[in-house]
Amino acid sequence: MKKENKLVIKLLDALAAKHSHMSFLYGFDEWANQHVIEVTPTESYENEQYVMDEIDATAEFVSNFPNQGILFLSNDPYLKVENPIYDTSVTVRKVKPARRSVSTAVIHRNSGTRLPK
Amino acid sequence: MATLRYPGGSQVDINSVGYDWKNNYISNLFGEKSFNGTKSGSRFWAMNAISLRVRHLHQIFADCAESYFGEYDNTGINTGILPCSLSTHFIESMNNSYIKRHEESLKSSELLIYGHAHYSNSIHCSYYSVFQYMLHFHKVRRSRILQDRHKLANTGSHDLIINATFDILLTIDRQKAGYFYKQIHRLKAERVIADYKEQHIDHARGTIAYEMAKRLTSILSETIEIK
Repeated sequence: MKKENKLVIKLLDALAAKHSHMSFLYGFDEWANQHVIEVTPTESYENEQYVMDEIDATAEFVSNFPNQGILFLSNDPYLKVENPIYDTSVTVRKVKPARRSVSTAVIHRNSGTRLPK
Repeated sequence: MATLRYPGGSQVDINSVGYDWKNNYISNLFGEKSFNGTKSGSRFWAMNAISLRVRHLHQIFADCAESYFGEYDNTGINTGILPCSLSTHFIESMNNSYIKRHEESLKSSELLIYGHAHYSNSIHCSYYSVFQYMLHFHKVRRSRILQDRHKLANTGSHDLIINATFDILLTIDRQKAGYFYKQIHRLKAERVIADYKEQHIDHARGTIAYEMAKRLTSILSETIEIK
């Protein structure tokens, strides 16, 4: 996993920890060269405190990766996360990953799920 | 005007009356006396006309230098610009400034939606209208990002401009910055779909992108002069 993916996951975990009723589905859009996150529920996505926290997260990402973009969406009629790589809402049993394989599941509630490719 | 005030005389016929476009030189208009020896009334007009022309060319030169290199000092000494000279290319580029391209793209988007029902291309134009305005925004603010133009041809070049814009907006108004960042990335994603993917794009989708472009432009124009 690349540094930028790790940073996005770290930022999403922080947002999910602060806004415990919210979840974040994350994928990378290679065509648009941007990290896309679907946020639920939409009512919380429009909450003022969440909006400010999201701006802080965006600013941190931009300062680290000025050549890439990050997009938070909620209930967008056209744009979706097509190939999710992380989901903070999924809680599964902790599974010991196979040796030298890509981790497919080291999961906690609000620390998210790294999804298989 | 200067030609009307020229008394007369040329190298072909010293007794000719008035300015002869065939046999007089432009330089004849600048003399204190005309070719036939009488005091010339054309000098005043010719000098003023050339002065205006020089000022006009100077402005073109300065604007082009800014467009190409981000900054220009009034001495006209700017590294890299001197070899370029005032060629036709430079003069034509004045018709191709960032703000001009922004205006044309936005207008094109509107025409494509309402005049031709070409919604995919309208989204392309909507996005580029905002991108061109961002370039104009940085040009007016003399920000560093335009001086690093060599980076703009590479992957992520648009993100560099978007992120630099976001950084500036953050210092002015955080909420506007957040809104701008989100909407420009939505528009960018829509542009990628419109340009490269095969998806149905209807009137509503084209119109949403067009309205988004207008709102984003408003945010930039409201903040362009704020330090």
